[in-house]
Amino acid sequence: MDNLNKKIKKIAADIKLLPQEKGELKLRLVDFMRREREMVETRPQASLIMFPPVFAYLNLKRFSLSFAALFLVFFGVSFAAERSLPGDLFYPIKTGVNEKLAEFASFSEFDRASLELKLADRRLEEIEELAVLGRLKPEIKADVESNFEKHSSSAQKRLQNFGDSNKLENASDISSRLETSLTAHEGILDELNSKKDGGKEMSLDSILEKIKEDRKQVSDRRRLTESRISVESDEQFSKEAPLRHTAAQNKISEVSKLVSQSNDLSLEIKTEALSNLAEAEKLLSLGKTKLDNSESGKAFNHFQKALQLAEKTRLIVGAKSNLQIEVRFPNLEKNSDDQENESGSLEKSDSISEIEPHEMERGDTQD
Amino acid sequence: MDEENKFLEAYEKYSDAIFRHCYFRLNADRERAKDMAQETFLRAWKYISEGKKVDNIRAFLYRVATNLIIDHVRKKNFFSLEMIIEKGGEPEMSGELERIRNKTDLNILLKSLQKLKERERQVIVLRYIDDLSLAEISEVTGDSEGAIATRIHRSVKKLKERFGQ
Repeated sequence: MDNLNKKIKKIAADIKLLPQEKGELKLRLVDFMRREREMVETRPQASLIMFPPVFAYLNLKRFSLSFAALFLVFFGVSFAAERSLPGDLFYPIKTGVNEKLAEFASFSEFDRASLELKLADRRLEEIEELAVLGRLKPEIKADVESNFEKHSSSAQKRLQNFGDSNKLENASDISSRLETSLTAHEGILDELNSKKDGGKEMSLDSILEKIKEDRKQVSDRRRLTESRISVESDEQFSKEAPLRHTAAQNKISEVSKLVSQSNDLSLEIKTEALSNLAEAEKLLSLGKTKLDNSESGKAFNHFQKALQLAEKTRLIVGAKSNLQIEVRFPNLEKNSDDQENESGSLEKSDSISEIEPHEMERGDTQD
Repeated sequence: MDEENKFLEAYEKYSDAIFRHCYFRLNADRERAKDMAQETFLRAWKYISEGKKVDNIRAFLYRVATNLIIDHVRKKNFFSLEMIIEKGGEPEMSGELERIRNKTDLNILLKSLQKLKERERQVIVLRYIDDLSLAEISEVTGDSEGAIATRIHRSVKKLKERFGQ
């Protein structure tokens, strides 16, 4: 039997995936995992509502009717709470129950950082909606602003931790998403702040100030991460870069479809959106060239920027359809902060020189 | 993200093995084996991403692959070995002489496996190609170790007759 075993093993050993096949299957798997994650993040949290444990111990046949009725009430309330705004009846359920459960269900540091980012985003959306509806009272604004600051600070702290622990792909992802979100909201709130309501301007100055401050810090963090990625060994990002390429490509396709389906966009906004998407495609192409030259870190950065630009475009289009306002966002720096000279090393960026010396690690020299 | 990274590590570690398993279970249909291997990892991730615990990822992947193969075989969407060889669905191999020798042996092995019943083929592939222990095969198939040992013994006897040992 041993001979048979050895013989079969020897024959079978040659049967395996080709490297290209393995890579292609992996890309599809990663894309699937990302879509699953995005579905979970955007789905109403109603499914996280759990039944009080006591029901597990009761005879379900006997209590099935009241059990089902109670479930429907919980589900309905939780679902309704998701769309509520500060001052609404169900808003405490949104923040005190639904969001708390989402926090409980976030196991990894990256999941927690993503959640904080999402909650910061949500608070700003709430301020915008209230402003558009004319319901932004001072006490509500103060409360929501304070919550936004809490989530934004928490996201930034986790971002710093990723940088400190060399989880650069996480740092890149969170910093890009946070910067894009803050930029988008700055544009929207700026637009709302300039509108006059009965001759009186809406007082959004304090929140705008805070957003600008956070955006600058996150932008600095993003650039620092990008320069670290550029000098990292190609091995670390040789796997990550193609995955980021796929994510960026998918985002560009998604947003292209959105733009073509949006019938109420002005010519100006549509032109800006299409121009951004063309720029994103160029970044993808630049990144591919870097990847072909085994410069995986630089390729990763280009792909991340393409993804960020596509996301920014999605927010521009979203602002029109959700809030009926058209905004021109402050420019995300396109390629001005990673100009390369002939030898491939980075030029020093002004914002990086403002960062504390201890944050620059060995190998991050920019000269 | 840690769960995702762990799962991708499992992909790197076991994708060849799962593909190989599907290849031998599906009569050397390479394209179908690739599809099946991919589907195995997608389904496995879906299960894990729903928060369900998996103690032994390797055994779990084989279990998912096995179930997919069983579904596939039941649908009888199934090429004969002769058709695969005629269509040129042969594995990539390196080394000319080794390739010729292995190709011949591979064809013999594949023909021998095809003549076994599905459940016999399953245990032979799991034991001799995938190198799973009896306990692991039990976890994959849901059968007792005793039943598996008996099935392996009977299948090996048939295989030896056909494989010429």
